[in-house]
Amino acid sequence: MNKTTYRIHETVVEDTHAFPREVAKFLAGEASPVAFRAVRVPMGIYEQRKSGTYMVRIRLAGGVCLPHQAKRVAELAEEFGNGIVHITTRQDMQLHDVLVQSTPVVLERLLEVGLSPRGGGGNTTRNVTACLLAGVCPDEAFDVTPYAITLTEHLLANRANFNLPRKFKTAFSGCGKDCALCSVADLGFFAHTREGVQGFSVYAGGGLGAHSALGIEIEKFIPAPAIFEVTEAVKRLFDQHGDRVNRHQARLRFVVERMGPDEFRRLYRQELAQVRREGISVPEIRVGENGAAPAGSMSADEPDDPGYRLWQARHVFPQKQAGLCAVRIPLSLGDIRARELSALAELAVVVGDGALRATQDQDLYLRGVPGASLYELYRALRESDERLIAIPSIRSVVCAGASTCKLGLCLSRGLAQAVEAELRGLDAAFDEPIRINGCPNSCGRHPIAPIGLQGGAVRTNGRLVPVYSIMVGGRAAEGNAALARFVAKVPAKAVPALLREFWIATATNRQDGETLDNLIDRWGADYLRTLAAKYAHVPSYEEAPEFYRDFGCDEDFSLAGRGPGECGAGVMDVIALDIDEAKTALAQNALYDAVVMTTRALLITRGLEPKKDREIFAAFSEHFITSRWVGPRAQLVLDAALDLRLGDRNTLEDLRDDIHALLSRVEELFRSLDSNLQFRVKPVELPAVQESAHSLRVAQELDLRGVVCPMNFVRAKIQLEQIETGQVLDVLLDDGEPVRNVPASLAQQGQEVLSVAREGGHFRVRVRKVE
Amino acid sequence: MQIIVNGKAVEAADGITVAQLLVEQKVQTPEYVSVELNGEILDRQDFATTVVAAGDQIEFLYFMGGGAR
Amino acid sequence: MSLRMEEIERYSRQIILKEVGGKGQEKLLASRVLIVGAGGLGSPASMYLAAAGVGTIGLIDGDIVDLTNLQRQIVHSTGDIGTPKVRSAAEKLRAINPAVQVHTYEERVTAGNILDIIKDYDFVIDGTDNFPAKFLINDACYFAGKPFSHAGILRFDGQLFTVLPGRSACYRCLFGGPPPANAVPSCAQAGVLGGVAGVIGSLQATETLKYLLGVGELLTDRMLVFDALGMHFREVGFRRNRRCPLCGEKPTITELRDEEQPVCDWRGTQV
Repeated sequence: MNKTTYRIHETVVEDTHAFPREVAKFLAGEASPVAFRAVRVPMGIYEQRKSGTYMVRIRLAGGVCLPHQAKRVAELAEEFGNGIVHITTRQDMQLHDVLVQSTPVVLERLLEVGLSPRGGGGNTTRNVTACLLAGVCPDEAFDVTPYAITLTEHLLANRANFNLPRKFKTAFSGCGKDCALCSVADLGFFAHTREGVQGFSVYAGGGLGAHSALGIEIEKFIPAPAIFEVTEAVKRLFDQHGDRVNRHQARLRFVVERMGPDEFRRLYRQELAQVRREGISVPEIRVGENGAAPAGSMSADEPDDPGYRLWQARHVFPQKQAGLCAVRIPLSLGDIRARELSALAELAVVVGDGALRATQDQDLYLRGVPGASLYELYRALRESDERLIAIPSIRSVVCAGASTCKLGLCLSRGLAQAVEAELRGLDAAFDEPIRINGCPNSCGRHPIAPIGLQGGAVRTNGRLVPVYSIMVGGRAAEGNAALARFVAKVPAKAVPALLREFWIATATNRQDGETLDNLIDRWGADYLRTLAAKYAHVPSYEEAPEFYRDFGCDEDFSLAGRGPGECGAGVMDVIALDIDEAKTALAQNALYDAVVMTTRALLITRGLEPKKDREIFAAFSEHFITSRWVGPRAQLVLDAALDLRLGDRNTLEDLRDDIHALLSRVEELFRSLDSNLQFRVKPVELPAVQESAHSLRVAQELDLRGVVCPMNFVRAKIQLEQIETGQVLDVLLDDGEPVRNVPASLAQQGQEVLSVAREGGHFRVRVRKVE
Repeated sequence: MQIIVNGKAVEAADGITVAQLLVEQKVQTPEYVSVELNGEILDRQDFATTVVAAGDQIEFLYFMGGGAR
Repeated sequence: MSLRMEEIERYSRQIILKEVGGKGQEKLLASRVLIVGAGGLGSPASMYLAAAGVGTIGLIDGDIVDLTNLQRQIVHSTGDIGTPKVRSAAEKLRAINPAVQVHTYEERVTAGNILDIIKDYDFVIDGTDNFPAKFLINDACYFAGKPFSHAGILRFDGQLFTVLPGRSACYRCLFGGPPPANAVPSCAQAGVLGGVAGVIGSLQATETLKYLLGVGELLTDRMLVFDALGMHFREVGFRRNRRCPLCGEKPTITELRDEEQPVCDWRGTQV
């Protein structure tokens, strides 16, 4: 009988007890939303898209959940959530629609049963995952569950682990098949036994999202107790070298990319040596407590029930322990109703080994079920809810999507339901799920899947259309992993029919016992490409307005009204697309179109999505010309474009260079966006000035690094007073407020800022004295 | 008729003199008040004979001492 | 440029101003301002000028700090009662800004001493409470060619204007001469709200700084009239009076004199 999950460290208890005060401060208006966010996110409490509602992400080390814990989570879901418990792709349990004033009591009640959402979100060491059959899998080297649990305890004890440059994900796989996806973890451990010694090979720097990357091997083999010092060493490396300023390049995989694998390994070994010199406490690993022990078996009747046979074939897996089975409870979209979860908890005690496992496919497993008890279990599940024994034609793993996720672009769950409905009745060909992600981030883990869908948007006929890119060939495996590659892009509404056709075709084209990824490599990728061509056409709005709406939504697909925190990778992709199309238009001499696309591209970052050209021009003028993000000549371009439209002009040819310059500037602004949707270049950069050598003498250089605002501005001013009008001064400023404020203040007082250039960790601002 | 006294529009009898206006406006210590009529400081001896016309702008300037004690 | 780092930091908030800069600050540091009267108007005026880094500040006042002063003469504290006002004020100004040279004159301005004192200064602030002194300052500044700020307060009201002698209207352009004794109440008789002294005195300091920096429009040929009860500021415009006895076409005042009008306060003593 399973007895343990991670033990709660006293620092977590302290932080949980301190939390109600933070909530009270926020509700009383004493703490700003930003300040509160800094406290609640590392506590695993995320704001949902509908403001005022929150989700609570409860970490389950290795996905292990004891029955009394599951019951408590179910109760909390009923009392404070929406009655549903969600299993995430990292083996957490999640509550939704919780009001902020309820979060303190939720945290307290979770603590009572030994659970915490600490590190469920934010720049923290996130839930430590383990492969779903750890402990019972016939292929495993040994059970990695105790290691996932003990490492979790170790990480929870150190508050510094909740203040890293960015999130940090750790995983354990029992063998090279890598069901825990160590290949794309920040830190991944593969279990091996060498000469009787249990240990791990270690990979680091993997991750999915923008610029997905596979982890690199940093240790061929370490004895098992060494996981703590190795984790500490990698974490310190991350802490030191992760980019705390640029959120979008902060993950460990960017560190690897920046310095290269060899340098990364060298620095890792340096950190490891340091950790060893200091010596860290190594907790005791309680092996064997999660070992399975059969409870009493029930009736031995095995009736001739075709439903039962199908279920058994699909959802029951023999364990390495003779006579015992692991049973999958498939959860559609990872959701289970509270009372069903309670019922499962009961069953785990009566029929299973006393614990539930959450998996990265967003399902729950019961393990240690004696073969003789299977039918009883099947009947109990069927009685609780038919869906718990469902055999979908196609399994899917889906991200939360734009309905709850602020960064989401597409309503991925809507698509998943539509696909499920479309494919109902077809034979379940494969066990591997299709992974659906509503935006270019990878919460659905699609880059590591044989077949995945990635949400996006394109512009057709001046309107936005939700689309999905079909990606194939992803694979997790030790040393042989692969990231999915793009095959085709089709409108969202075309996806269910396309998949249905594909799935039917697989029945005839599949060779005996062929796995899905083999099938795809051999035949499926090309076939999908052909199919996609057939489904790619987007009808006009008048013909089929539903193509311009996402699943489950009656309104036209739009990005308007998004603020910082809601312009994630998906939105960035749309902007990049506009800019690309503007470039194409320019190259094709469609100058008017180029102007429209250029000026429209960045309006989303201001929460705007005007449809009419003159509205686009007006918005661009207000938000970018008046505020001097682009030079004043842009207004000439806009006016000329309007004139062309009105027929007062024949051509924009004479402004071609200005249109080109405007597009370059818009692209520069786009590239400089930070996570608060602020541009990190200075307003109104002047075109390159042809100066005679005489007047462009750089008079001197003033190093104001380390000088805070406004002293840096004051000193720059005073320095300028010393030089002649027309002379040039170089000022070195720190990143952040100094470079944001000083050039603007100098310009505002009439000086001519010639350039602002990044130089390593600081900026060089060149100013010419005007007055 | 309407005239402006100290920036405010007031009603005054036609043909009123400055001296009479001081009384009518209940100016305290009229003998120590300076009068400016349409931007010109009037001589005190002219108060009784200067007639105020419609639309005239009149300012009463008062002595104000009290700074140090 | 001779500003030290400490000075750059101390004055950073005004150096930032386009109209000031390091050059402006240096001008202030080289300036000399005389404040006549270390009382209700002189208190805020002198403090702001010291804070702004006016290099030399002269204070002239023959009085001693009295309990009744403390309601509005904020450069003095309770512990200063009995101390000559200029000494009490000088101590506070030096504490605000040790770099400021404070010259104290423990005496009243008279026709006999004023020209000698004001000749070393660039600007004069009239912070006096009696009319003879006000007219004396007006005349002396005219003869010496010194710009000055005139002001007065009473009850809830205040007024001020700036005089550039020979160029803009002077006090005598508006008021030919002082009123008789007791004709106009003093603060001791009629009372004054402390904040009004603060407002007007601070405005005087502001005008002084503008003059020294050479920026903005000075309050010349116009008087700012403050009504604290209604919270109104009014502006009354005027011109140089051709019949001004001092600066008009036919001046009758050609030399300084002490106007015969002793100050009367409720205690009936003249200090």
